[in-house]
Amino acid sequence: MGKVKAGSDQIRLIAAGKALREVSDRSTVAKITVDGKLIDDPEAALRALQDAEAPVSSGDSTFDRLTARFEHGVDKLEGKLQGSTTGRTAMSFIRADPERLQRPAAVEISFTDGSTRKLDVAVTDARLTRTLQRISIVAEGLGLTPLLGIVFLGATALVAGVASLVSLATGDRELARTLGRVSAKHALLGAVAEVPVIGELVPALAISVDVANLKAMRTAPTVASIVNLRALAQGARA
Amino acid sequence: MEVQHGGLIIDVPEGWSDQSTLLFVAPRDSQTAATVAKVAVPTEAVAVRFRGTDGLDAVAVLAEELSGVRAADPDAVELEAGPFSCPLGAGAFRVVRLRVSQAPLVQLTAAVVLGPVCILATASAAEARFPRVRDELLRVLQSMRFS
Repeated sequence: MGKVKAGSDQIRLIAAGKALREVSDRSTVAKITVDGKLIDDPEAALRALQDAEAPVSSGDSTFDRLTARFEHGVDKLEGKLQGSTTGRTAMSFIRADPERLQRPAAVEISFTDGSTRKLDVAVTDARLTRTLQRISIVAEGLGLTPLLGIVFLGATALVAGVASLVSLATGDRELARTLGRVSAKHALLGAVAEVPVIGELVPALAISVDVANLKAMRTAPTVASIVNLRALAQGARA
Repeated sequence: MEVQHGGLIIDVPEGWSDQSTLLFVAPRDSQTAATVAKVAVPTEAVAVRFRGTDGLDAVAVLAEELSGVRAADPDAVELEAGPFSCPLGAGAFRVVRLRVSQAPLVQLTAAVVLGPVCILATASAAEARFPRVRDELLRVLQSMRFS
């Protein structure tokens, strides 16, 4: 189990909120810790979880406009790639959502009757995940450039690989793992960049999937936010 | 995460998005003449779904939805628009005439924004029937409340 990194108080709060949601009677909770650190305000943890589960605005309409044409292309492109082994391999790689950065956290809840409960919780680092998705979209867009695509993707694969090693050296294993996956994805896209037909379809599919993933993070409400609609409304009025 | 709909409960993994649509369809009009019944006349329906606001207010969400409708029917016409309120909160509504599979329909869509989530409820009726059922459909939309 990895450690939640310094500066990730919000992720710690969200992890605590996720664990608290598993408790039916929260009045019995005496203490809650995440990776050994005490969470002072359980209500703040639940609010942080609620905020994290709500869709967020991209705040960048220009980026949205530029990428909108890729949003609905996934099915069509996948249909074209199904017939080739390279295409299917690339598809499974792209579909794995390599940019998603998940932070594991160990939560311990102590109850008023003296019992304790330990839960392993994974929290998506939404901010970094969105940033990585955007970087990938730009890199994959450049990858569509004839002849130079392989150079651009090779460069981004190299940069992501180096960043992965730096993250590993600084102790951020989850970020290192995620950057490693991004590096491998860009390397794969670069490797097929000059292959006729597939070289155009694969980067286009990668962009379409990334745009769809990015949009889903912004516009698709989570099940939890709809189940807790009343709390959402109270939060909106506060 | 436990989700309840009517008498059904389903446990959905943490973090999944809710892209469900609640769809309620009125029974066929029993007074419809036999000859008319042979023609595909759509009956009234109400659909409720959820979407992120992406920073938009209710009026802007409806405008975005209308552009989606116009992608399907470029001749879709807005007939009416204004404020809407129900126990969930205040929002906006819009009435649009469009064609679906050549059938002329009128859709009354209400949007209520609750923080980052927008509740979109759309009531549809055949254009010829809409004036008669408009108030009833509006009452259905205005009945939306918290469980």
